[in-house]
Amino acid sequence: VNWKRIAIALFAVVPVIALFAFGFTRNPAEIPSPLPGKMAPPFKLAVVASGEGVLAKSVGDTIRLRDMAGKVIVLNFWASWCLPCRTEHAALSAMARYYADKPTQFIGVLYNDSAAAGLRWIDEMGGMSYPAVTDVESRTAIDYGLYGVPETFIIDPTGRVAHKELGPVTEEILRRVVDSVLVAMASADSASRPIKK
Amino acid sequence: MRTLVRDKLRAGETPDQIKAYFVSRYGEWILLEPKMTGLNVALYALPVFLVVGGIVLIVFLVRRWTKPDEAGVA
Repeated sequence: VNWKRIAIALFAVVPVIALFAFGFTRNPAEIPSPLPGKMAPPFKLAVVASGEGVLAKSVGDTIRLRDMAGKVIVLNFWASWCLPCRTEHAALSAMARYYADKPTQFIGVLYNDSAAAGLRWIDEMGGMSYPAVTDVESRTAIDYGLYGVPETFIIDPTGRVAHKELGPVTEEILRRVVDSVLVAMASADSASRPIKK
Repeated sequence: MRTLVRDKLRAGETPDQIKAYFVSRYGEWILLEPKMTGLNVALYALPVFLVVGGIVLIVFLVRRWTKPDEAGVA
Protein backbone atom coordinates (compact mmCIF):
# COMPACT_ATOMS: atom_id res chain seq x y z
CA VAL A 1 0.00 0.00 0.00
CA ASN A 2 1.37 3.39 -1.02
CA TRP A 3 0.53 5.48 2.04
CA LYS A 4 2.02 8.61 0.51
CA ARG A 5 -0.36 8.45 -2.45
CA ILE A 6 -3.34 7.82 -0.21
CA ALA A 7 -2.37 10.79 1.96
CA ILE A 8 -2.06 13.08 -1.08
CA ALA A 9 -5.42 11.90 -2.47
CA LEU A 10 -7.12 12.45 0.91
CA PHE A 11 -5.52 15.87 1.23
CA ALA A 12 -7.03 16.87 -2.13
CA VAL A 13 -10.43 15.23 -1.80
CA VAL A 14 -11.42 15.72 1.85
CA PRO A 15 -11.66 19.56 1.77
CA VAL A 16 -13.83 19.43 -1.37
CA ILE A 17 -16.18 16.86 0.17
CA ALA A 18 -16.29 18.89 3.39
CA LEU A 19 -17.24 22.01 1.40
CA PHE A 20 -20.05 20.17 -0.43
CA ALA A 21 -21.25 18.62 2.82
CA PHE A 22 -21.43 22.07 4.39
CA GLY A 23 -23.36 23.26 1.33
CA PHE A 24 -26.00 20.57 1.90
CA THR A 25 -26.70 21.96 5.38
CA ARG A 26 -27.75 25.29 3.84
CA ASN A 27 -31.13 26.05 2.32
CA PRO A 28 -30.47 27.56 -1.12
CA ALA A 29 -33.96 29.08 -1.25
CA GLU A 30 -33.38 31.04 1.91
CA ILE A 31 -32.51 34.67 1.39
CA PRO A 32 -31.64 36.17 4.76
CA SER A 33 -33.27 39.50 5.44
CA PRO A 34 -32.01 41.99 8.00
CA LEU A 35 -35.53 43.42 8.53
CA PRO A 36 -37.26 41.05 11.00
CA GLY A 37 -36.86 42.46 14.50
CA LYS A 38 -36.16 45.94 13.17
CA MET A 39 -38.53 48.89 12.84
CA ALA A 40 -40.56 48.69 9.64
CA PRO A 41 -39.61 51.37 7.09
CA PRO A 42 -42.31 54.06 6.94
CA PHE A 43 -44.54 54.30 3.87
CA LYS A 44 -47.26 56.51 2.45
CA LEU A 45 -49.12 54.87 -0.41
CA ALA A 46 -52.28 55.68 -2.38
CA VAL A 47 -55.22 53.27 -2.44
CA VAL A 48 -56.00 51.90 -5.92
CA ALA A 49 -58.50 49.19 -4.97
CA SER A 50 -60.81 49.80 -2.04
CA GLY A 51 -61.33 46.35 -0.56
CA GLU A 52 -64.70 45.11 0.67
CA GLY A 53 -67.14 45.82 3.48
CA VAL A 54 -65.66 46.93 6.80
CA LEU A 55 -62.13 46.56 5.45
CA ALA A 56 -62.71 49.06 2.62
CA LYS A 57 -60.80 52.31 2.21
CA SER A 58 -61.59 54.99 -0.37
CA VAL A 59 -59.67 54.89 -3.63
CA GLY A 60 -57.20 57.78 -3.73
CA ASP A 61 -56.78 57.92 0.07
CA THR A 62 -53.28 57.53 1.43
CA ILE A 63 -52.33 54.76 3.82
CA ARG A 64 -49.48 55.68 6.14
CA LEU A 65 -47.64 53.26 8.36
CA ARG A 66 -47.54 55.73 11.25
CA ASP A 67 -51.37 56.06 11.18
CA MET A 68 -51.68 52.37 11.93
CA ALA A 69 -49.73 52.21 15.20
CA GLY A 70 -51.36 49.74 17.58
CA LYS A 71 -52.45 47.43 14.78
CA VAL A 72 -50.95 44.25 13.41
CA ILE A 73 -50.18 45.01 9.77
CA VAL A 74 -50.00 42.37 7.07
CA LEU A 75 -48.22 43.99 4.15
CA ASN A 76 -48.32 41.81 1.05
CA PHE A 77 -46.39 42.74 -2.10
CA TRP A 78 -48.03 41.36 -5.25
CA ALA A 79 -48.40 41.92 -8.98
CA SER A 80 -50.83 40.88 -11.70
CA TRP A 81 -47.98 39.21 -13.61
CA CYS A 82 -46.96 37.10 -10.62
CA LEU A 83 -48.18 33.51 -10.75
CA PRO A 84 -47.52 32.49 -7.11
CA CYS A 85 -49.58 35.54 -6.06
CA ARG A 86 -52.63 33.71 -7.41
CA THR A 87 -51.94 30.80 -5.07
CA GLU A 88 -51.88 32.90 -1.92
CA HIS A 89 -54.68 35.31 -2.84
CA ALA A 90 -57.59 33.33 -1.37
CA ALA A 91 -55.73 32.78 1.92
CA LEU A 92 -54.95 36.48 2.32
CA SER A 93 -58.50 37.58 1.46
CA ALA A 94 -60.00 35.03 3.84
CA MET A 95 -57.62 35.86 6.70
CA ALA A 96 -58.26 39.61 6.31
CA ARG A 97 -61.99 38.87 6.79
CA TYR A 98 -61.27 36.47 9.66
CA TYR A 99 -59.28 39.10 11.57
CA ALA A 100 -61.61 42.00 10.65
CA ASP A 101 -62.80 42.43 14.25
CA LYS A 102 -59.25 42.37 15.63
CA PRO A 103 -56.80 45.32 15.52
CA THR A 104 -55.31 44.23 12.19
CA GLN A 105 -54.82 45.83 8.80
CA PHE A 106 -54.15 43.87 5.62
CA ILE A 107 -52.66 45.85 2.73
CA GLY A 108 -51.76 44.68 -0.76
CA VAL A 109 -48.91 46.62 -2.33
CA LEU A 110 -48.96 46.50 -6.12
CA TYR A 111 -45.38 45.99 -7.23
CA ASN A 112 -43.98 46.93 -10.66
CA ASP A 113 -47.41 46.95 -12.22
CA SER A 114 -50.05 49.37 -13.49
CA ALA A 115 -53.13 50.10 -11.41
CA ALA A 116 -55.32 49.07 -14.38
CA ALA A 117 -53.66 45.65 -14.63
CA GLY A 118 -53.95 45.25 -10.86
CA LEU A 119 -57.68 46.05 -10.90
CA ARG A 120 -58.27 43.63 -13.79
CA TRP A 121 -56.47 40.92 -11.83
CA ILE A 122 -58.59 41.56 -8.72
CA ASP A 123 -61.73 41.23 -10.87
CA GLU A 124 -60.44 38.04 -12.40
CA MET A 125 -59.67 36.59 -8.96
CA GLY A 126 -63.20 37.35 -7.77
CA GLY A 127 -62.32 40.33 -5.58
CA MET A 128 -59.92 41.22 -2.78
CA SER A 129 -61.27 41.78 0.72
CA TYR A 130 -58.62 44.29 1.80
CA PRO A 131 -57.36 47.49 0.15
CA ALA A 132 -54.55 47.57 -2.41
CA VAL A 133 -52.13 50.46 -2.78
CA THR A 134 -49.69 51.41 -5.51
CA ASP A 135 -45.96 51.85 -5.00
CA VAL A 136 -44.64 54.47 -7.40
CA GLU A 137 -41.09 53.73 -8.60
CA SER A 138 -41.05 50.74 -6.18
CA ARG A 139 -39.63 52.96 -3.44
CA THR A 140 -41.45 51.12 -0.67
CA ALA A 141 -40.48 47.76 -2.18
CA ILE A 142 -36.80 48.77 -2.10
CA ASP A 143 -37.22 50.13 1.42
CA TYR A 144 -38.48 46.69 2.43
CA GLY A 145 -35.61 44.93 0.64
CA LEU A 146 -38.04 43.18 -1.69
CA TYR A 147 -36.42 40.31 -3.57
CA GLY A 148 -39.46 39.39 -5.64
CA VAL A 149 -43.20 38.87 -5.40
CA PRO A 150 -45.01 37.63 -3.48
CA GLU A 151 -43.47 38.69 -0.20
CA THR A 152 -45.39 39.34 2.99
CA PHE A 153 -44.33 41.36 6.00
CA ILE A 154 -46.13 41.15 9.32
CA ILE A 155 -45.58 44.24 11.42
CA ASP A 156 -46.39 44.28 15.13
CA PRO A 157 -48.32 47.09 16.89
CA THR A 158 -45.09 48.84 17.88
CA GLY A 159 -44.04 49.07 14.23
CA ARG A 160 -41.45 46.31 14.33
CA VAL A 161 -41.21 43.67 11.58
CA ALA A 162 -42.35 40.46 13.27
CA HIS A 163 -42.14 38.16 10.26
CA LYS A 164 -41.18 38.11 6.62
CA GLU A 165 -42.56 35.45 4.32
CA LEU A 166 -40.81 34.88 1.04
CA GLY A 167 -43.09 33.33 -1.56
CA PRO A 168 -46.77 32.51 -1.22
CA VAL A 169 -48.12 32.86 2.28
CA THR A 170 -50.65 30.34 3.64
CA GLU A 171 -53.53 30.55 6.11
CA GLU A 172 -51.47 28.50 8.60
CA ILE A 173 -48.54 30.92 8.50
CA LEU A 174 -50.80 33.97 8.77
CA ARG A 175 -52.76 32.49 11.69
CA ARG A 176 -49.60 31.42 13.53
CA VAL A 177 -47.81 34.77 13.22
CA VAL A 178 -50.80 37.11 13.56
CA ASP A 179 -52.13 35.17 16.56
CA SER A 180 -48.77 35.18 18.30
CA VAL A 181 -48.39 38.94 17.74
CA LEU A 182 -51.94 39.55 18.99
CA VAL A 183 -51.27 37.43 22.10
CA ALA A 184 -48.01 39.29 22.78
CA MET A 185 -49.88 42.55 22.33
CA ALA A 186 -52.63 41.53 24.79
CA SER A 187 -50.14 40.43 27.44
CA ALA A 188 -48.13 43.64 27.02
CA ASP A 189 -51.38 45.58 27.43
CA SER A 190 -52.35 43.83 30.65
CA ALA A 191 -48.82 44.23 32.01
CA SER A 192 -48.84 47.97 31.42
CA ARG A 193 -52.31 48.46 32.93
CA PRO A 194 -52.14 49.60 36.57
CA ILE A 195 -53.51 47.11 39.10
CA LYS A 196 -56.75 48.32 40.68
CA LYS A 197 -56.83 48.43 44.46
CA MET B 1 -33.09 51.01 -7.91
CA ARG B 2 -30.85 53.01 -10.23
CA THR B 3 -33.16 56.03 -9.97
CA LEU B 4 -33.08 55.72 -6.19
CA VAL B 5 -29.26 55.64 -6.19
CA ARG B 6 -29.22 58.70 -8.47
CA ASP B 7 -31.70 60.55 -6.24
CA LYS B 8 -29.73 59.71 -3.13
CA LEU B 9 -26.49 60.91 -4.73
CA ARG B 10 -28.23 64.14 -5.76
CA ALA B 11 -29.48 64.54 -2.21
CA GLY B 12 -25.83 64.57 -1.12
CA GLU B 13 -25.42 61.04 0.24
CA THR B 14 -22.02 59.43 -0.17
CA PRO B 15 -21.62 56.08 -2.02
CA ASP B 16 -20.80 54.45 1.33
CA GLN B 17 -23.99 55.76 2.92
CA ILE B 18 -26.02 54.48 -0.03
CA LYS B 19 -24.35 51.06 0.16
CA ALA B 20 -25.06 50.95 3.91
CA TYR B 21 -28.74 51.74 3.18
CA PHE B 22 -29.03 48.83 0.74
CA VAL B 23 -27.26 46.45 3.12
CA SER B 24 -29.62 47.50 5.95
CA ARG B 25 -32.64 46.65 3.79
CA TYR B 26 -31.48 43.64 1.77
CA GLY B 27 -28.57 42.20 3.68
CA GLU B 28 -24.99 41.84 2.58
CA TRP B 29 -25.68 39.84 -0.59
CA ILE B 30 -26.95 42.97 -2.32
CA LEU B 31 -23.32 44.15 -2.66
CA LEU B 32 -22.49 40.98 -4.62
CA GLU B 33 -19.11 41.15 -2.91
CA PRO B 34 -18.79 39.03 0.23
CA LYS B 35 -16.96 40.61 3.14
CA MET B 36 -13.59 39.09 4.13
CA THR B 37 -14.85 37.61 7.39
CA GLY B 38 -15.47 34.10 8.70
CA LEU B 39 -15.96 31.42 6.09
CA ASN B 40 -15.95 34.06 3.34
CA VAL B 41 -12.16 34.25 3.70
CA ALA B 42 -12.06 30.85 1.97
CA LEU B 43 -13.67 32.43 -1.11
CA TYR B 44 -10.71 34.74 -1.46
CA ALA B 45 -7.97 32.43 -0.21
CA LEU B 46 -8.92 29.27 -2.09
CA PRO B 47 -8.24 30.51 -5.65
CA VAL B 48 -4.84 31.89 -4.61
CA PHE B 49 -4.05 28.66 -2.79
CA LEU B 50 -5.07 26.56 -5.82
CA VAL B 51 -3.04 28.64 -8.31
CA VAL B 52 0.08 28.57 -6.12
CA GLY B 53 -0.43 24.86 -5.39
CA GLY B 54 -0.85 24.17 -9.12
CA ILE B 55 2.34 26.00 -10.03
CA VAL B 56 4.28 24.14 -7.35
CA LEU B 57 2.87 20.83 -8.60
CA ILE B 58 3.76 21.60 -12.23
CA VAL B 59 7.33 22.67 -11.32
CA PHE B 60 7.75 19.55 -9.21
CA LEU B 61 6.48 17.22 -11.94
CA VAL B 62 8.36 18.89 -14.80
CA ARG B 63 11.61 18.71 -12.86
CA ARG B 64 11.03 15.05 -12.13
CA TRP B 65 10.20 14.25 -15.74
CA THR B 66 13.20 16.14 -17.15
CA LYS B 67 15.70 14.85 -14.55
CA PRO B 68 18.32 12.75 -16.32
CA ASP B 69 17.96 9.13 -15.44
CA GLU B 70 20.32 8.55 -12.53
CA ALA B 71 20.89 5.00 -13.51
CA GLY B 72 21.95 6.33 -16.88
CA VAL B 73 20.97 4.91 -20.18
CA ALA B 74 23.80 3.46 -22.02
